[in-house]
Amino acid sequence: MKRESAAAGWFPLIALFLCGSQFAWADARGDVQDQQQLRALINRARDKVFPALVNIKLVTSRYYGGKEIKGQAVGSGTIITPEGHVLTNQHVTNRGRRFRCTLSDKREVSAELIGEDPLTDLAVLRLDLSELADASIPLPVATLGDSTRMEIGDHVLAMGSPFALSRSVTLGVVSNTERVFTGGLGGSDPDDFRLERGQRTGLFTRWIQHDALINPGNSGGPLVNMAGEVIGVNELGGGGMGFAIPSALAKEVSDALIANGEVRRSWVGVSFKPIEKTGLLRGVLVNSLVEDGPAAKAGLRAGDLVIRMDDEDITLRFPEEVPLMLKAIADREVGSSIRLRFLRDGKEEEVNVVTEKLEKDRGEETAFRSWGLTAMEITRFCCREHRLDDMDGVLVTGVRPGGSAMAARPPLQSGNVIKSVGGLSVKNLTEFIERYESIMDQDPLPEYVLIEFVRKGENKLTLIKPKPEEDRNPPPELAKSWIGVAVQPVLKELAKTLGAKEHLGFRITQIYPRTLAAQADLRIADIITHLNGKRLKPRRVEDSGMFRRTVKNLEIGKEARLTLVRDGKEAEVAIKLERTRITPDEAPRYRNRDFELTVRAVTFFDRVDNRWEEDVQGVIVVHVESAGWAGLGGLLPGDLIQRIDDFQIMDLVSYREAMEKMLKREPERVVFYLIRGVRTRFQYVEPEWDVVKNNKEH
Amino acid sequence: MLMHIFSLALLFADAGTSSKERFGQIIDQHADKIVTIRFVMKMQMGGRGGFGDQDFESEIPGLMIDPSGLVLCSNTQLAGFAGMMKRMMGSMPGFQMTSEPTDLEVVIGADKHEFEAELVARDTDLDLAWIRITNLKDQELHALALEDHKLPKMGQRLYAVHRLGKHFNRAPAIRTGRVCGHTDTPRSLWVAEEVLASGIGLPVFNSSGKFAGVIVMQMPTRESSEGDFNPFAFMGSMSAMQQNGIGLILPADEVAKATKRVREVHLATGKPAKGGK
Repeated sequence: MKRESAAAGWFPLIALFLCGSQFAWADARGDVQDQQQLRALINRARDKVFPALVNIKLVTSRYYGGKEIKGQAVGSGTIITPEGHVLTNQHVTNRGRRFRCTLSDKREVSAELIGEDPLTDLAVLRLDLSELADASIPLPVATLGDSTRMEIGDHVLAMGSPFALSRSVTLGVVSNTERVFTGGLGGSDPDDFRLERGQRTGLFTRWIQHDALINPGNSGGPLVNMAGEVIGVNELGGGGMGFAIPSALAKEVSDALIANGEVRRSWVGVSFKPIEKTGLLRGVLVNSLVEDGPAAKAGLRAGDLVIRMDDEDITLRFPEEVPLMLKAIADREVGSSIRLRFLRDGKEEEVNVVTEKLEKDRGEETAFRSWGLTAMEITRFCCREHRLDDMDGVLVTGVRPGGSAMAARPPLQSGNVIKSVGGLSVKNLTEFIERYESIMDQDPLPEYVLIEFVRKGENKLTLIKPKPEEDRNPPPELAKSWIGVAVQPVLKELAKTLGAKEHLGFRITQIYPRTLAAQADLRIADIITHLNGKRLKPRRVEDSGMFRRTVKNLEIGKEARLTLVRDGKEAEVAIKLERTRITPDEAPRYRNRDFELTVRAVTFFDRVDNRWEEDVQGVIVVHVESAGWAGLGGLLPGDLIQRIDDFQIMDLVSYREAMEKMLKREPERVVFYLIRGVRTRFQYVEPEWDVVKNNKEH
Repeated sequence: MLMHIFSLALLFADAGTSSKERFGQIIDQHADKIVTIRFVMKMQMGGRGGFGDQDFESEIPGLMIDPSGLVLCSNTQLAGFAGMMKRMMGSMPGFQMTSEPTDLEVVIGADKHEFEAELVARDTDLDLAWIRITNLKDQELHALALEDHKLPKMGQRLYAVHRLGKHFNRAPAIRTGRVCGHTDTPRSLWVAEEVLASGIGLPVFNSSGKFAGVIVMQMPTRESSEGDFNPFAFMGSMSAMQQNGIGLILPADEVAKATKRVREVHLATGKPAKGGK
């Protein structure tokens, strides 16, 4: 049926090609009509869903190399209820800490995460409607259509924010309505598909494959049919192909997430293999069993051929049929009984399998900064994957080079399981956090903390030296003598051109203001030929540093005699030697962990380079955490912060005071007035103060 | 019992019992002053945090120059690649790469004692850096008196004491080469045979065990290489690297003078101030 209708669809185009040019005029007119019709369909479909399209921006926390790395991510979503629920992908919201949605009318609204379902890669956010000024105007809401009615060749629109370019639409056709992944990302079985380490996905999904162009940023956005209904949630794409989660599945999952915050599913602990290449004619093979899972406990074994489930005969010939069976099992009530009839060694047998709750694959993860490691809750799935004896303890997922955990002897490594801390056993991540915090709260800190851990079945001990992170000013350059001028070497040819070939030396090119040189009788274009009677004779460009080096070898505070040539005549100028001015690299710094921003003092050379007078004050941004509050507010390295709200920033002290006052005040937004390049700017930082204050960052 | 390992790059006429004794004497005299500095190099790209930031552990040799725990080492080895690039190319708008040594520790001998330390001062021109141990209690440290030195001479054989890595018990070892050149630009620097040139940060001694200098990098500054800069010119063979300032000997008097200034100016003021919350 699907193929006939597809063939019929192609026929007019083939006929058009074969009929030749004598019908060209008539055909061209038909073409235009077809196009106009298609255009009308597209417009209608677009207008029904486009207003409900949202762009999602979030701050993410990931764990890598033993530390927390903040970042920003962008995705797409669709408003599916008048209460402001937004349907999107779970891999968009994964580890998100702060969600902002931009509506189709360009207004930006905060959102909170209602629930996530990694196994289908779906998630639901809810918009904070109280932020909308005209909350009485109903939200545009998209309708979820029936994806089971989609056929190969149907036109579809993909909407979303590819490459963060919001409110984009592309057109394509459905290429396949029951795509599963085997091989590559999917491993060899459909239930082996993973987008993230330690987390399966797509167990129950048969994707709608299409060729509407989608790119990073489209994730979570709607796939729309010509009736203007959402029939899929775009999840994957590349090479001109896109893959959407069917709306039939998305509707069930989103309903469950909205109602309960999670999707409750049954689990029997069986992996099935279709019989396509086995020579068998009926049933489905038991590929593997979870050792202590419900099916194993009931007596099922790998290699059994299941032929009947309750009252229904079962035959799974192809991989595309596996998700349907897995879903049928998952949809059962948790704790219900499933009767499985199977063949083993030619004999028919039967077991009753009592389902259990399907638990999450991947546990919570967090970073422990002072110990230089990240650790994760051990779930049942994790326990099996890592071949652990039990679920007690926490799994080390990363160790920071140079951190305490790596410096321990023996060092902790990724994959180790921490069982006890300081002699007290640790059952889970919550207990580990408690132990960690109680140790780090001690004053003074203990010199060592005893850690018991398991590595590949071996029970070991190590000692960690807890080390809180300290901020230090950069070490200074060794103080040396300095004269506040810039010079260039006068080489032979230049001296000759200037009319005095014997006047090799160093020509003054700049006299720095507010230095002793500025007060001395020195002028631009003076050529310094001697320093304290010593002849200065640069021979090559490589001798450019000769004057400065010679000065550096003298004693700070002593007087130096400069013999110079001015307007063809020799003169002598005495000048007291100053200490070298500190460079930007040596300038004292201050790191604010709340806003994740490091600033430094303004130095003499900053003023010279930027032509800033003494009255230009402030602090200069050195480092900004990209997904920290200051980074999200658009501050950049090099900015000169001059005012924060109503506080004038003169130096590091006043900056620090201003930031502490902000923490007490908790304004909705903090306004930074700064100079960037040659322009002034206002940057708005909008921290979530709850997060700032509770951000213990372990 | 110490395991002595002798590595020789050249055959020389006076090989034999006297050389063996000399090597042994120099090691006995100075090995305990050669320490290992362990640190974490924090590299940041572009001034914004994220995956571009890298941390990695590193170890370099150091020389104990005061029983209070003052250690001398190479500034370039502490500053890392970012420091080198900055020196040669200056600050480049739009591109920022910084590297900072943190979590410094001084390891005495074969991991006998480990001490926390802080970077006190640096001299980028001379390629020297001074580190101070911060948690020294009652331990006695053996230090080299810099003022007791003898300057190198052309043709003279010099000896550099170093330590093997942790997997070899940090056993002391010695390498030797002759002085084969001298320049006074940008400062007085001695050229040694290639076997010594690769020992950046190592002190060198004469055959009587007198301190003669430190092997350093003398990277050209942006100022002095104006219009003719090729950051890769120094890569390649050791002789090419030496031509471009890698592995020259800074004489002992310069080292002593700079250290004196560090003591007067930087150590007299106490610990460097902390910055941040």
